[in-house]
Amino acid sequence: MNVKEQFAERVEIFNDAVRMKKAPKRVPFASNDAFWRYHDLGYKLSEALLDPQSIENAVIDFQKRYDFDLLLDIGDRNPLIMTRSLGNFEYQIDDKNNTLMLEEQCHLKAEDYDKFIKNPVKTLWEEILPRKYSYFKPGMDLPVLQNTLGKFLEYDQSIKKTTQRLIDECGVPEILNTQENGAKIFPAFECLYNFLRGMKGLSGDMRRTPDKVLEFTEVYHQAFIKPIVDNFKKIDEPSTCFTAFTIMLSQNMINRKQFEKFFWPHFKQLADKIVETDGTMFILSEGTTSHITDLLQELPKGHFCFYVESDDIFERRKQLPNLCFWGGLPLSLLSRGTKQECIDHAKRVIDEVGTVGGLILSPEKFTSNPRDCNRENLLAVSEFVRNYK
Amino acid sequence: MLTEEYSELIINPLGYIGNTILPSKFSLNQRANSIENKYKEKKLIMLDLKILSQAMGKLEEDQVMELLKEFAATNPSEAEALDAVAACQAGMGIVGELFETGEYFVGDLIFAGELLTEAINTLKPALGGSGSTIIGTILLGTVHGDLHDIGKNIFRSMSEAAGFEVVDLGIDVAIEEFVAKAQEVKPQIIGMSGVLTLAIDSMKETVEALKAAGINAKIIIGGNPVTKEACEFVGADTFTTNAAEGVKICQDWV
Repeated sequence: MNVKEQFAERVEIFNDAVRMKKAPKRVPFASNDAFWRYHDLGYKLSEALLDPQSIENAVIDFQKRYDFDLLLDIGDRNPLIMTRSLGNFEYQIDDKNNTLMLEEQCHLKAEDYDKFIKNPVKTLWEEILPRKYSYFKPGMDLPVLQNTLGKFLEYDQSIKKTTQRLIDECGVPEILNTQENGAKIFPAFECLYNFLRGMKGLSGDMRRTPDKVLEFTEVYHQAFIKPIVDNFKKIDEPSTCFTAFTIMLSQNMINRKQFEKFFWPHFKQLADKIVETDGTMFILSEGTTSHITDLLQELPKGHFCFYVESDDIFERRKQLPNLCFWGGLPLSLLSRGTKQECIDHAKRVIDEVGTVGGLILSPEKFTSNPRDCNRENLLAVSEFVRNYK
Repeated sequence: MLTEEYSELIINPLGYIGNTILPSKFSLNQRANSIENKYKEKKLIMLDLKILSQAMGKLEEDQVMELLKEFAATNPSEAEALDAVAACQAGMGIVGELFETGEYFVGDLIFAGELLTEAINTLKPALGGSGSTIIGTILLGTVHGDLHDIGKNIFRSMSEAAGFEVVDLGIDVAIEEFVAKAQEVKPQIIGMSGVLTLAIDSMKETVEALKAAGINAKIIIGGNPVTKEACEFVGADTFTTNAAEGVKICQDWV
């Protein structure tokens, strides 16, 4: 099979997996790697993450070694080159453990809600960004600004080049259709939780000033999310693994009532748009979703793929016959099991979870630490999945 | 309240709360009721302890703080303030129960910890620098290589609310630091937390070093990657992914 045929087959099997109308030719196998590849390929993490060429080469070499059908991260998950160029050093690189960590951030103060609600763009530029990026302030030196712009452009071009090399050299499609559907969607409440207030601040805000949190999310949604979602188009000929991508992480931190109040309404709007345009969407939903099962059951079949990280994927299949799942391979097995144990488990997941589509096989947690994965096991699973039909 | 109990309260308020009001077999709610009943008998009710516990359990911050501020304004004695602390602790017990039933989530526990701190701070002037009786000491930390602390902090808040003294070493704690502090404070329990998968190896290394140093404290590990298999691999006494459950285990140990 040549690269173009590989590309076409991958687009097709992803589409079949999510549509859940017929069994795909084979189950798609996706990488869920954060940084383990740098260890596997012999890079020092702190050097690789600050060099666009190393990031690009590592992605391509990793793909060539394991022959995935999709890579969740192609170096765009933690763009340190860009954030550091603006003076943000919150991410800490640990070369010994091959990890990157970030302490909880709080760049929006409780008293900033009103300002943001009144003028989100102004507040973002004048209040929040200068807190997050230490170089970004009035009177910023021109050379610093020039350097930042240069780094941004260099990084952006590198990611585009990596994407194109994956298509041209490896036959691997993009995860979502950025040409037609813009970008990954980070819902308003998720931005508030992950990037602006942090859970400590937000857990208090939801109880002390719930109306302001609601107003904030509505203003944010209208200003930054809705314009992208409104432009979603029906795509007759898919050329990517999914047509859209979003995240759902806060359900692990907030209770069911809060989830329904603060998160679900905007997600439902997004989901409705996906259904309206007959699209498919990957939802990066780390942790558990077991307490919102009934809400997920409402989603129409054939459009949504949820990441199953902590829940039992076999149980979730019984509870959620309407959804495609991403996951299934425990890291404990990939790292410490035998090749045969890994293959046997992969077979069981495919047979029980992905019989009529509905499965993207992938490590159930992202890999980073050298001990998260064993090369021989990953190679064995990759080969098995390609040949198991 | 018996005469001898009353004497004990005056002579040794901390011991009284610990030995009489907070016996280990009592649930926290029962403790609050017990305290309230004793005060009813003496007609000393300035603060409705049951309502305080319930408000704390429901995380009604305004109500909790209003009750406590009114109470603090009456210049309560140290013993009375300790009763209020016990009522807040009972409220934290309710929070733990609601977490276990799935009504509360992690964010609620974070808020509960914050509210408890706020409440205790309000009572501090009346407490005269003392807290309630310590039922045991826990040495706690996020293991080396891991910077996550939300789960650890929740466990700390709930453990303190249950009467433990917690020596928190923070995040990314070196093996040597665990060992040295354990030798210094001689805890009954050592709690190790982690979120990353690498934490399992760090826990194992730390447990081995503790055992090699002759530390014989009970060891509990907690966090996202922790499982029964991981616990056996690490060599810990037990594991949990639920802070409230972890506190219960620790209570059973002391």
